[in-house]
Amino acid sequence: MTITDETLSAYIDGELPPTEERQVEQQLTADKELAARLAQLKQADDLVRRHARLIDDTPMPASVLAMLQDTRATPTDNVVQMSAWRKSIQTLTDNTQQHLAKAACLVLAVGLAGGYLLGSGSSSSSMQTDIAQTRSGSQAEFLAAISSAASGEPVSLPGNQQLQISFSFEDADARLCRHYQLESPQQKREGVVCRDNNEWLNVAEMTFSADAAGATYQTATSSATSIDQILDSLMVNGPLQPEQEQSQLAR
Amino acid sequence: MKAELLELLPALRRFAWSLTQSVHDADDLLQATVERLLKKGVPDGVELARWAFTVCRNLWIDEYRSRKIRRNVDVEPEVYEAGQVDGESDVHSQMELERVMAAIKHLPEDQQTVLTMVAIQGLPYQQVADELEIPIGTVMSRLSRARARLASSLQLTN
Repeated sequence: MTITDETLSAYIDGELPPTEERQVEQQLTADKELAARLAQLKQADDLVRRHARLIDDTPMPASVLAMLQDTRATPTDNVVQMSAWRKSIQTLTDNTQQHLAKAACLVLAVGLAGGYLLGSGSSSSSMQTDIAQTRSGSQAEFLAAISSAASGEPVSLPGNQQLQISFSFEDADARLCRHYQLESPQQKREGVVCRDNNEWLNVAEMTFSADAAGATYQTATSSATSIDQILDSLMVNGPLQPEQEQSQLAR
Repeated sequence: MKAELLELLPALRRFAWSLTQSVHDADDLLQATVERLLKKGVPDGVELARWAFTVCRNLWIDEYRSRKIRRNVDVEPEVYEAGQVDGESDVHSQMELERVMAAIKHLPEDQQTVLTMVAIQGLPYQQVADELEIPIGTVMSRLSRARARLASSLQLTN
């Protein structure tokens, strides 16, 4: 067997078939010149690697580090610094719930970057508006879905809208509350609704226009806060497990 | 993704440096790579590390290589000065590395690319062949010619 530089090179990289590799090893033990050639080629590689590491001694460009350390620049990193309600969501063992919780976080993170939104859900005050008043056309279907759909189940609504409940939870007054996302070709909305005396109240809502450069929003109150802050203030014991949610919805 | 990229940054920078042989170009390329990754993300089912190197190499091929702004600069004083340590053996080592750099710069680009992908990035031959869309035999021959040429330029001894 003639052993070329190409064979030795492939031997260095462990890319030879086992049979050929054994043949090379046998010849290396018998042929000093071949062994010397192998050492030369390996030495070239070692020097190339050492040379590559030289740049480690120069400072990493600050502009690149800034891009990666800016925790508010992208949705995924906003998730990292999310609030207590999000952490509690992560404790859910149900896979579907976990998946949805993540989806919800992304939407919230977009909101954080854009800056928004609205009201408090502390009680049935004027800050809260009846959903039926704020939504036209599909409000009946929307309310029906909010009242019955399990978290994680996508629901198609009239007007080519897709609704998905992200998760449900109880507030301090033991009201059932639900975080949802409603998407149409024109806009995306996320919000929180709470059930009070069999009426669903709009506690927080944010609307993103599909054609707008930034997020637009609707407010139910003049106080500027964010949905995650609202969730933090509302959620008492974290999101409901699927069976707890079903039980609450059935009431 | 940012946290993963941050961990990957030194390796990615070494790769960019190996391709460009210029600290400034390497850092420009690194920045462009990170910007592209943050903007466009990673395709489904593709490992971030692998994709980052691919983006980096493609940017180099598509944009930076064509400029060849600093390819003809023979020395990169800042990189050697930054790594300099007192002592005779280090001076010797420094000189040796400067020779390595000069030798790498004189490699044909196709050989340098394959050598960088295998020796620095640590890719298997088949992956190099796939990414460069060349036969695996061509990968092998370019690689062995690059190594032989370096060994000859540097007059390496066993």
